[in-house]
Amino acid sequence: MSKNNQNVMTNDNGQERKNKKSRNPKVIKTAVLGTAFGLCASAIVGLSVALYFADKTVATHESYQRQMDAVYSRAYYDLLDGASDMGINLRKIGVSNSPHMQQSLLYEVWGSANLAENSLAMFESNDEGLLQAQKFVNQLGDYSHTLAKRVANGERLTAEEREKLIKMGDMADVYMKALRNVQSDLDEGRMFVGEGGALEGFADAFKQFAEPSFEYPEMIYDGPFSDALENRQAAIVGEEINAQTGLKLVADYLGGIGVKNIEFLGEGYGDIPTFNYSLTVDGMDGFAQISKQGGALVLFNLATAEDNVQPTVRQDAGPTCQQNALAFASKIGFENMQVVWSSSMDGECYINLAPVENGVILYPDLVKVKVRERDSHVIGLDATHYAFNHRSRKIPAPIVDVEAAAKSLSIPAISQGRLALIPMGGMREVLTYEFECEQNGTYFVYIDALSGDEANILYVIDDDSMGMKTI
Amino acid sequence: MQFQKNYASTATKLLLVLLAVIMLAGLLSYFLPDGGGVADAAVLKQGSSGATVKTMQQKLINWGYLSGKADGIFGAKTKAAVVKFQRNNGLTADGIVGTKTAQAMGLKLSGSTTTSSSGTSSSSTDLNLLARVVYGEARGEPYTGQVAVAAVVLNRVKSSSFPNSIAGVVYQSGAFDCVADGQINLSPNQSAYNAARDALNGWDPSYGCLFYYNPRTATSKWMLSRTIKLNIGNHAFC
Repeated sequence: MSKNNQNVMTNDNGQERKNKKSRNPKVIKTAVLGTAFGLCASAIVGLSVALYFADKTVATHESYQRQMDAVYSRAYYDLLDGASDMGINLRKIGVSNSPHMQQSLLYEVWGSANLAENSLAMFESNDEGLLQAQKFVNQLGDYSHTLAKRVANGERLTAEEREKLIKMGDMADVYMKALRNVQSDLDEGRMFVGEGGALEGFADAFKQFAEPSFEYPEMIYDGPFSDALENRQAAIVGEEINAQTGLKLVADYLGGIGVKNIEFLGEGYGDIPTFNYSLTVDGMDGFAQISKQGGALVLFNLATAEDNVQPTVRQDAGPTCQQNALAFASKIGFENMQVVWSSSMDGECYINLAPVENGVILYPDLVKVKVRERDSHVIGLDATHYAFNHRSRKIPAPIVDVEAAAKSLSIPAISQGRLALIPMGGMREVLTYEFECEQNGTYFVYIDALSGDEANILYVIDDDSMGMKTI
Repeated sequence: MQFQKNYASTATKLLLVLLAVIMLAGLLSYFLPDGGGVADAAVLKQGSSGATVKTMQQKLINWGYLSGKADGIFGAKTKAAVVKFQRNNGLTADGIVGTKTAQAMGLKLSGSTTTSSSGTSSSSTDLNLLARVVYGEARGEPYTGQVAVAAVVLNRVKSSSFPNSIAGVVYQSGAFDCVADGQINLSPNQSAYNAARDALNGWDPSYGCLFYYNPRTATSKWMLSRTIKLNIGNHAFC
C-alpha cells in the first residue's frame, strides 16, 4: 500500500514534473519573445530618438561651421583687398613727385595695411611665417603713417625712404602671391573650416616669410613698431654681480620693509639680464629681480590680494604714501626723484616718480612705486623704464621761453609751465614745457621748448577700476 | 498551473510595461524640464528656481557643463553640472551654489553680498578682459607669474607681429587655451584683477616676452624651440 501509494505519488510527481517540463518551455518562450519584442521596440524607439537628435546636432554643427566659414571668408577677402591696395599705392608713391600726393598715398597705405593687419589677425597666431607676415603689414602701416605725418610737416621723402617703400611694394607682391595660393584652394570649392579645410594650409602659404633667405628691410624709424625697440639694451652701468651678491642686495634694499625668506629662483635672460628671488614680507609672497649688470633692483612685487577682504582705503593716505614711495626709491638708489603722477584703486596706490636733472623732469626714466593705502607700506616697484633709459644726456637749452609757450595754449592752464623731457614714439625724446590745463576735464599739454609747437596732449581719465590714468 | 501560466503572462506584461516606462522616461527626460521647486534666497540648490537659476544654467550650457535648454529650474541634471563645474574649478563639489561658486560663475545671488572684486566694474573693459585671461590661464600660479601672463598679452599688443588691441591679441585663433576651452568666461578673483592692473601700469617681470608655455604639458615643437628667458611657477616665458 504504502509502496503503491508511494508509486502513485511518484507517478503523480512524475506527471507533475512532466507537466512542468512541457509548460516551462512555453513560459520561457513567451518570456523570451516578450523580452525580445520589448528590446526590439525599445531599440527602435531609442535609435529613432538618437537619430533624431544626432540629425539635429549635425544640422546645428553644420550651421555653426557655415557661420565660422563666413567669418573666415570675410577676413580673407578683406585681407586680399588690403594687401592689393597696399601694393598699388606703394607703386604710385614710387612714381609720384608731389609731396601732397605722396602724403595722401601714404595715408592710403596706412589704411589698407590696417585692414590687412586686422584681417590677418583673425587667423592662427602660432606660426613663424604668419608672425613675420603680420610684422610686415604692421610695420608698413606704421612706417607709412610716420612718413605721412612728416610730409604733412613740410618735409620731403628722402631717396632712402622712397627706396624702402619700393622694397616694401615688392614684398606686398609676395604677400599677394601667398594669398593667391589660398585662393586656388577656395576655387576648388573647399571651405575654410572643417577637415581638409583651407585653414589647414593657410599658414603654409606664408612660410617663405619665415625663411632666413627672405629679404626684409630693416625698419628703423620714429614709430612704435620700429625695429629699434626690439632687443633693447639696458642703460644700467656697473660691475657684473653674482647670484649670492644679488641675494645680499635684496636683503639690503628691502630690509626696511621687513623682507624675509629670500631665495634665489633662477636667472632671467630677457632684455635686462636679471637674478630672480622669491621672498616674503609680512607673510605675503613676493618676487624681486636684480640686474646682473650693476646690481640694481629693477622689479619687486608682493601678492597682496586677500580673498573676501574688502580693501581698506584711508582718505588721507596720499601724502604719506608719496613720502614713503620717495623714501623707498632713495633707499634703493634712485635719487633726485619727484612725484609726477599717482592713481589709486582697491586700496593700492601707484605712484610714478621721475628724476629731475637741472630743473628738467625726465619722463622717459620713470620709476613706479606701489603703496598699500591701509598702512602706507611699499608693496611694489617697477624701475624698468629707468633701467632702459636713464643715462647721461645732453639736454639742449630751451629756445622758446615759458611765457611764449603758455601763449600757444588754447585752454586755460592751472599750473605754471615746467620743463619736461618726454618720449615721442620710437626712441626720440623732446624737451617741452608741461602745462596742466582744465576745460571739461583735465589735460596735460606739452609745448616743444625748441620750436614752440604742440608736441603732445594727454587727457586724464578718471576710471573706477583703474584709478586715474592719462592717454 | 493556472497560476503559473498567469504568472508567465503577467511577467511578460510587466516586463513590457517596465520597458515602456523606461523608454517613456528616457524620452521624457529629453523634453521635460528638471523637477520644479521654490526659490531660495542666499544659495541655489536642487529645488531652487527662478531667473538666477536660468542665468546660471545658461552659463553652464555655454561652458559645456550642461546640455539642453535653460529652464530656470534647478533639477538633478543641473546639480550634476554644478558638481562638475565645482570639481573643475577647485571648489567644494556639493552641487550647492553658495557665495564662492556663484563668484566663480560670475553670478550675483540675491540676499547674499558678494565680497571681493569690488569696484572692478566693467567700466574698464581692458582691465576686465585682461583679468579674465589671467584667471583663465594662470590662477594657481604665483602672483608674479600672473602679472607676467598679463604682461605677455600687453607685449603682444605692442609687438608688430601681433594684433594691435587687447581683444585682438586675446581672441586670436589658437593664441590662448582659456579662449578655446571657455575658461575665459569665468569671473576673475581679486588677485587676477591686481595682476592685470599691475601689468597695465607697466610691471613686466618677463621684460618683453611674447610667449609662455608649460614645459610639462606643451607639445608644440615650434613653441618648444623658442629660447626661454624666464621661468615662473609652471610657466616658461620666451
